[in-house]
This record gives sequence, C-alpha cells and structure tokens, in this order.
Amino acid sequence: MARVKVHLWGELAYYGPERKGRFELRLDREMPLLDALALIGVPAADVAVCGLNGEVVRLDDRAVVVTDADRIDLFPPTSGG
Amino acid sequence: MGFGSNGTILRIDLTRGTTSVETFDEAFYRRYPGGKALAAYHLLREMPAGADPLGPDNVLVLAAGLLTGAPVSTATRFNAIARSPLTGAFGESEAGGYWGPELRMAGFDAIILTGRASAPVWIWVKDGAAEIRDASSLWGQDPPAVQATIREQVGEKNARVLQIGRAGENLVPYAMLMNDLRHYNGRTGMGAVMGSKNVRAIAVKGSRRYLELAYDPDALQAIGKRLSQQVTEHPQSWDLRTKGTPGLTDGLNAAGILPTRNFRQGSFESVDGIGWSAFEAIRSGTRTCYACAVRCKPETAFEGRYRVTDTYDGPEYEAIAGFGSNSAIFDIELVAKANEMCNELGLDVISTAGTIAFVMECVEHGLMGDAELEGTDLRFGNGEALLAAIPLIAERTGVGALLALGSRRLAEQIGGESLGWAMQVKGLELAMHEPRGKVGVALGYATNEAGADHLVGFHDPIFVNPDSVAFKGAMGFGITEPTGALDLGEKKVRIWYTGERWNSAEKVLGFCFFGPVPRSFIQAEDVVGAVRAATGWDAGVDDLLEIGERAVNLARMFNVREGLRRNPDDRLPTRLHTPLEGGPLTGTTIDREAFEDAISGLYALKGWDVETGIPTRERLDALGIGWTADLVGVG
Repeated sequence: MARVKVHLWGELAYYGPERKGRFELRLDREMPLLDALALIGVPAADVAVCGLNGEVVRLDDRAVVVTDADRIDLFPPTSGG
Repeated sequence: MGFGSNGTILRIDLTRGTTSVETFDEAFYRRYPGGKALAAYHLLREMPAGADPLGPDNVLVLAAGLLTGAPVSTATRFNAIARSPLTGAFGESEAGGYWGPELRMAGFDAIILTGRASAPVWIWVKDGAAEIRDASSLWGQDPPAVQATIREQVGEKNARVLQIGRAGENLVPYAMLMNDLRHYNGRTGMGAVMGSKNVRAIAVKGSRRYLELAYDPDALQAIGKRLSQQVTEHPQSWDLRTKGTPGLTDGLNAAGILPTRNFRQGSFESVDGIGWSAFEAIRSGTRTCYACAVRCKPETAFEGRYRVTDTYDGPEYEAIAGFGSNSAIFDIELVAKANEMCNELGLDVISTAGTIAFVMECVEHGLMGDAELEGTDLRFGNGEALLAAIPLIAERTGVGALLALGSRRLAEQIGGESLGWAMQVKGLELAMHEPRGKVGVALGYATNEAGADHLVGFHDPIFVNPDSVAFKGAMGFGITEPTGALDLGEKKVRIWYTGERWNSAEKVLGFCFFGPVPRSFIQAEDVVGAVRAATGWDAGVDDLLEIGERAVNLARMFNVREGLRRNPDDRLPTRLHTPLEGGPLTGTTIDREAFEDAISGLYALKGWDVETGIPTRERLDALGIGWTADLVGVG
C-alpha cells in the first residue's frame, strides 16, 4: 500500500477526481510513475513536466517508482496568456 | 441580408471639431473585414509618412473585429492601431470587454481619430451619431470618476467608456487604453496617442443587435450556444474559466521558462510567493467579457499591508511575472498593488515592469545610482521602491522621468552593455514568456511589426506531442508533425508561419487568443462556421489564413515606409543569445546563426525579401494589396 499526494497543475486538474487538482491517491503497491499516471487518469501526452518529491523526472523512465508518502506534481505544456 | 458589419465608419477630425460617417461596401469588407486589417488599411493610407506619433498627423483607428459583438464566446475584441510613440513602428493593441461590441451596436465598425483638439474633450457616440464634448473637468480625474461622470451626463448607466489615465494625459509612451475600467489595450502606447489628441474618453451606446447584421442569424446563434456549452467540456477553456492566467505561473516555473531577474533566469526560487496558491488566497471573484462563457478575468480584493479593491482587473499572469519573478519579488499582495496602480494610472503593466527590471539590473551593475534614482532604491527584490516608482512614471518626475522613456531609449542614454539587457524588440518590452525554452515565440518577438508580443503565433510546447489535446486542435490547420520546443528547423518555421496567419486572423475577426484552437477550445471549423453564418461568404480555413496574412503585410508595409528593415529591426536582445542561468533549462540559449536561418526561411515562405524583410510585389499582388507597394514606393 502506498499513499501518494498528487497535484495536477493548470488544465490537468480537469482530469482529477471531481476535477480537483490536489488529492491523495492510494496505490495497492509501489509502481512505476507511468503506471500511477494511468490510474490517475491524466493522458500522458498532455503532461509536459513531471515532478517527484520536488525533482523533475522523466515520465517514460520505468525506473522511476512511486512509493509511500511521495508527492507527484504534473504540469501541462503551458502556452501564452 | 447582412454580411456581419455595419458598413459604416465614424470619422472624428479633432482639429476642426467635426464628425462624419463614411460607408464601405461588402467588397471592401471581404478584403479588410475588420479589426487589424480594417485599421491597418486606414492607418497606412491616411497617416503621412514620418508623422510624429504624438503629433496631430498620427491617426488613431479603433476597429471592431468582424465578429465582435456576435453572440459567440471570445469574439469580443477591438484593435487600437496608430504609429507607436514607444517604438516609432506599427502600433497595435487589442482589448476585450464591452466597448467593441457596443461600438458595433451603436452603428459603427470603427472610429478614426485625426488631428488634435485644442483643449481636452471626450466623445459621445450613440446610435449612429457622435458629438465632441468638453472634458476640461475630467482631465486629471481618476478613471472611476471619469466613467461615473460620463454615464451620469448622458443618462446611460451602461454606457461603455474607453479612456486613458494620468499616464496617457502625460504622454508616457507606454500608456494604455482601458474600457469599463477592467479591459486594456495595453501595448505600444495607444493611450499616449489618444492623450496627444487631447481626448480623455470615448463613450458608446447602441441599440442594435449583432444578429440584425448577420447573414444567417439562426445559424450564428446556434454556433454560439453550442460553444458556450463546450467551454467546461474542454481542459484548456475549463482551466481558463477556473483559474484564468494566474494559473500559468507554476507550470512555466516548473518548465524553466518563468522570466526571472530581467530574463537572466528561467525559474524563481520563491515561486510559491506568487504562484497559484498565493493568488487564490487574494482572489475575490472572476469576471468576463461580452457574451463570453470562458469567464477568465481574475479579480482580487484584500486589505492587509496594502489595500486592493476589485475596481480593476487582475493581476493577470503578465503582471504576476513582471512585478514578481522578473523583479525578484515574491509577494503576491505587492504584485497586486503594483498591478492596481498601473491600471489606475493607465500604464501598460508589461512595459512598466520590463523597464523597472531593466533599471534594477542597471543598478546592480553600477550603471545607475543615487544621481539617477533620486531616492527610489530600485534594486531587485525591493518591492516598496517598485511601488514608489510607478506613480512617478505616470507623472514623469524623479526616476519616473527616466523610466517613462521605456527600456530601449533609456539603454541608449545609459550606453555600455546595457542595451544587451534591455529586454525589448523595436522598443517594445518582451512579454513574460522566456523564448529560450520556446523558440518559436522568439521568432514572433523578433519579426512582429509591433515588437515583442507573445500573442502573434503559436507557443512551441503545443507541438511537442501529437497526441496532446492542443496538438489535435492544430490539426485543423494541416499541422501533423511534432517538433521540439527548442527546434528551429524547417518544420518549426512552417508551424510558425501558419500560427502567425491564424493569430492575425483572430485579430481581424475579433477573437480572443483564449478562444480558438490551439490555445483553447473553439475548433477551426467552428471559427469558419461562425464567419460563414455572419457574412454569407464561402470562406474556409485557407481564406482566413489569407485574411490574417494580408493584415500582417499591411503592418509590415507601414514599417517599411517608416524605414524599418530586417537589420537591425528584426533582432532579439543580445541576452537571448546567451545561456539561461537558472532552472531546468540552465545553459539553454538561442543559437544566433540558426535563428537567422530560421528568419530567412520564414521570410521566404512569406514571400518577403530575405535580406531586407520587405514583401515582394508578387506576394502583395497575390494578397490583393499591390497598392501598398505603390504607396510606399518599393517593388
């Protein structure tokens, strides 16, 4: 069991539970970040920057594993405004 | 049956104190449908070459977009266009709100202001008629008082008031126009141009409905209704509605492209002080523009170390980054106060913040000191000094007299290396988007006729992943291949060329950047559908791209006549060709040779002379504006 804090920034909050950007995710085991992303429901194609415990990590690196008490930050590709 | 426009333009000769109405036929509108195209056409034909931007010969054109006033979300904008007192080049700035739609309902597609009034005036426009009124009692008043007085005088509580502030009265070259107090034509100093004509305000009120002008009002209404329902069903427009532009700050910081310390760094160590969570704590609500379901306008109100009311808009992201990270200030309340002061005084927040950050860097390098600062200690991070400087700019006193020059003119005075860190192009300060992490934006900064604007093309991160929501939106333009955000090759140049034409078309049609794809939710086919329903024209995406391209070429020909050329005018500040110093993109730079090659490729696509940046006669003829070559005396 792993309890993970998730922060979906910007438009990615659209994909959060009840469109919330911040929530706690319960995983039944430690798993690669990409697998956790699938459970969160955010399309990987719309993630530009991924942070794990404050460090930028590669989403497609299966060696990046989410463990208990981690914090995941997902950012979209940000355009103008 | 209508074609989406009134077909009438209001002329105001301020020197003579006269008004007149001019009509144009549908054939004219097919070529110059509205907004940027309509305004650029008149500016180019009516302003004599070399006119003093702040003299009576400058011509200020205020033009609604083709669809402005239609019941379609984000089709709210009008353009203010004149020769810019900040740059000497083509000046342009758009604003949303209610003034543009109301102008159309009052029976006009545009207002052309010429000459100069001998004493302060304001202009009242209602249902096809206009009169020039005495504004001597309004001059020097705060914007809310001016708006209230005008509304009371005309007995119309919803009269829409476009006005300048103290900065415009005092001819600060980056003074802006505001309408309904909350919507701003911020860039290139259009407020100073109106101030130079002794016009404090233009109030409009009309009783027409846009649907009366439309070719197929039922179809137009149906499109508008469907789009309103789609706003919350698309991630990008949902996000704009939920957070507005203040929601951008953290993501840009994470990506390493948040301008920090005058664009030296790409991320800010104290971003939490200005990020979304900090902003959310001071947000008091959201507002919108005419008939727009996106509702992205943030509103703040609080009383703490500073008192900020919800009288004005924002702070938007541009002010947050400009007065925040780019000035090394991590205090959202101070940023909100600085934003409110600029709005009240009628100053463009981007140029104000950019010029202040430039001075902060000059102070750090010892190029400015007590003699110039006159007690205003403008060091990076000194928020109180920043607040003290803003009213001085509007009054052009103390250090404000120097800051009011803008960063380029000030750098030319200071000399030395300072021009390299004056973050401007053609004299217009960069918007708060770091182009070393999205190099297409740099192409726009360098080549745009008005200077370093961030809304003249697509932003690169959209095109990195072909499966992303934003990329799919761009497929309506025939863009199918992804490119990296740092790529400057042929694919990027082609995407940029498409984006420039599309965004220019938005400025002709009256759409906000936050409406159509790829930035937001309105698909290209729906933009086409709205144009067809409004006009009855058999237009497609390619026709809209051509409309956009024609407007760009009109602006370019204005600049050609004023002597601007690829070299030295389409050039980035030196800093952008040096490595970023902090954040995830540390060490990233824009290779000068690759960038020049990209501009050459772009100009070849545009049908412009690669050496000079002058449009070829052949391309101008193809766009139906060969007359501009004769007028300007080239080709």
